[in-house]
Amino acid sequence: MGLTGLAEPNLSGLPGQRKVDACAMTALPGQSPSRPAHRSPSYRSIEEIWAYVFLSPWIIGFLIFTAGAMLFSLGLTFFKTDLLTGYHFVGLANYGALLHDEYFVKSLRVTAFYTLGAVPLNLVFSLTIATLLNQPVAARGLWRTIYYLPSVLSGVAVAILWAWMFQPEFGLINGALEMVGIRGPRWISSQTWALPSLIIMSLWGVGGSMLIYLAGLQSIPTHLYEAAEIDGAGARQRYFNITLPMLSPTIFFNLIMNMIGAFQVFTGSFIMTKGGPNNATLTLVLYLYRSSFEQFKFGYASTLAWALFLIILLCTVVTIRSSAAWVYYEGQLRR
Amino acid sequence: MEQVRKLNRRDFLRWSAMAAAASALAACAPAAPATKVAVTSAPAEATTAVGATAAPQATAAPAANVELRWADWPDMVGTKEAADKFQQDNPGVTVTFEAFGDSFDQKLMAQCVAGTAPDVLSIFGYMFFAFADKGQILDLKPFVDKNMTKGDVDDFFPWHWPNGFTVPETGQLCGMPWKINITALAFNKDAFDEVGVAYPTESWDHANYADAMRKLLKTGDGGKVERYGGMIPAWDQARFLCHVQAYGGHMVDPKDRTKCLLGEKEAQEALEWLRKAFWDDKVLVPDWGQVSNLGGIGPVFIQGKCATVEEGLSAIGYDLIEATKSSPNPIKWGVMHMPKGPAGRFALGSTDGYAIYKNSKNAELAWKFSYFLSQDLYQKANVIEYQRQLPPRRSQFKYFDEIVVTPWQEKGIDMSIFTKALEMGYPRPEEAFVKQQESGVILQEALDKVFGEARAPVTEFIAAAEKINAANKAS
Repeated sequence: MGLTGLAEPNLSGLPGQRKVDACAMTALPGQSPSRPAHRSPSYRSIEEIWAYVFLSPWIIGFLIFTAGAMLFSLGLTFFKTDLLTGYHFVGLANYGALLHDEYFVKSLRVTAFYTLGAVPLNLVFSLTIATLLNQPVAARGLWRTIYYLPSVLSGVAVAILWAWMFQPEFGLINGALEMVGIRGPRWISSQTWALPSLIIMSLWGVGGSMLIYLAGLQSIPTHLYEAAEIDGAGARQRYFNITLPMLSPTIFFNLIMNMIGAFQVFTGSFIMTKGGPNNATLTLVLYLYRSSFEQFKFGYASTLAWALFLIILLCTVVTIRSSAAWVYYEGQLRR
Repeated sequence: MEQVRKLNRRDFLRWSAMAAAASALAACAPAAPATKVAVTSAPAEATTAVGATAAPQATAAPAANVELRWADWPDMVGTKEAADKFQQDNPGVTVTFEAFGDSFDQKLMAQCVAGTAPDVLSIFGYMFFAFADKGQILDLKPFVDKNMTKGDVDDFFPWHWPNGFTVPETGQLCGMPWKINITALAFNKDAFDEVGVAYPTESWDHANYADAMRKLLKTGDGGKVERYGGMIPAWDQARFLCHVQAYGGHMVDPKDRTKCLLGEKEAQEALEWLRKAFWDDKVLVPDWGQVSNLGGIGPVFIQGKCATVEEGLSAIGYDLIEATKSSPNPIKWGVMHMPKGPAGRFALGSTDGYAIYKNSKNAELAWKFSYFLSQDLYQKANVIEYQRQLPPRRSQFKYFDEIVVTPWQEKGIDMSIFTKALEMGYPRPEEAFVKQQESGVILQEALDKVFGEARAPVTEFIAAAEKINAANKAS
């Protein structure tokens, strides 16, 4: 075993040289055969050791704060505990309780609705903006910066800002609607409009996806467009037959990332509505937060967290599996 | 000739990265502890059971370089002066103030889990019971029995302290009081004059109240409300309760804190009175969002958008008074006791106070400090002058009269009704379930349905009561 306990490094010799086994006990001339000769580690093994040394802070952090925490929370799912007064083993009771918990079902429904609304809108909006910003327009760099900036703002600050914008009487949105003769709804104060309000707010952060789309758009080989133009394809045909298919890996990436993010939505409902009105914006993560930090049911909250993890995993796997049908990679041969 | 091994780029990068990593790790290392003088007479504490402590030892001189951590709301007048005075009277003690932020109750509890909670915690209402239930705060009864005389204890109002701070099931005394916030009725005298309705009096009941609000409602062109008859924050769990109590009901069964009584006849009658005012007569401001849209309770009332307001002394004594001072044309307004109901008059009397963390290394000192905060220096500077709220001791009412009542009496606002309310004995602390957090979620749902957009009938509370009972009984 190597120094780090990992697999023995491959010490194949350089071309023309004999292969050297690091553990070989070859006596040097004049030395007793029983006394092993010291072989200094090869350059490659030193490199690998240093690689692990530099990786170790992240590895240690991951093991302690991510993997370790996940294992601890998995263990908690089998207990009833408030972390203050002890641990009571309950087996699978927490998992059973999930099925009968109306708030879990409600929060799942709210989260699913949010995801089904926010993700497609986000993808379409960001792609539209990226397509527009890929054109040779004046001050293109400035426009790209303007569209990207909102996505770097703190989620809490954005939520507070949007709470003001959604104010029924004096908010910007209803003010703008009133200018065109539309009486706006009560937005986050309304049971019907609270969740759509959060979906609308999610579009504020399309800048991140837009940037990734821009990179994807710029990596599409121009000869494809030239060839299509020569063949008489119009702009629309080029967009749907070249741009979108060539961009499909990027769309796929954004779909996965946005979907994972949407399932974990929390800040908006926590800051703006506290899950109301009447639990209309009770997302799964908010319910998890309530169960843990407000009700001190850490065992059950851990169960909720793992349920969410499995749901996201399932949706991600399904999406990845489906990608074979609609994601095209350059150079890929399809039968 | 021996060749000198030169530092190549790879080596330079490697060593630079190691130096940077070492510096980062060194920066993350905790600071070396300050040199402490040996403690000569540390008070001994023994925790005998969850939430309870053994009788404290005789008060000893504080050890040198003792830090007392005090967690409270930020930016308050008087905190620095109080800390300085306490430090001056107790040499060797450093009072470290830790400011609260949002969700402070959850953060405090997380600190308890981590074992790093401050010594003195400023909490209120159901939080005392929640922290006591989790065994995170000390029972102050031994400290009171040892350090306070009967006269001293009688200086407080028993319903407030100690009763309001005592867990009924265990008798644990959870905290020392900070201040008292009582709800009352602020009314717009100009609006009452305009519609020819007599000002509210002590004999006002719920029928008079509803009738006045109907007459005070003013609508303009297109049915847009120009002035609401009243504002009752019934969507707030602590604020609708006084009406339920006025009708002879309760939210929580006084004999059994696992039982919700909002489905009972008396509570249903009170809730129906509120629902009718909200959705049949439409005299009440419909939601808090509307209030904040209109600028907050101060501007809403002072600008005449709402003829009556049920609010606490914190809002009446601070927000309304500040709005009056800053408004170029403020209304004439007054304050009256909450209207009576069939079962009497009730108002919310809050139980803000100070608890001591169970793992505090300076429990005696923490007690001494929380007792100190209930005395004249802090009460005058912080509670009365700054917050314009009531001090918890009768002997301190003279300061409230001098600083709040007298100046505003001259403007026709009788703030003495707050001290009279305490003498009359009708304020009540919050009612809290054993599993308050779970119960609160269910209750809020019902409140949102009945007093929110859905405008559901008050029978929602019957279903909510059943759910709350089940939640409290569940293990």
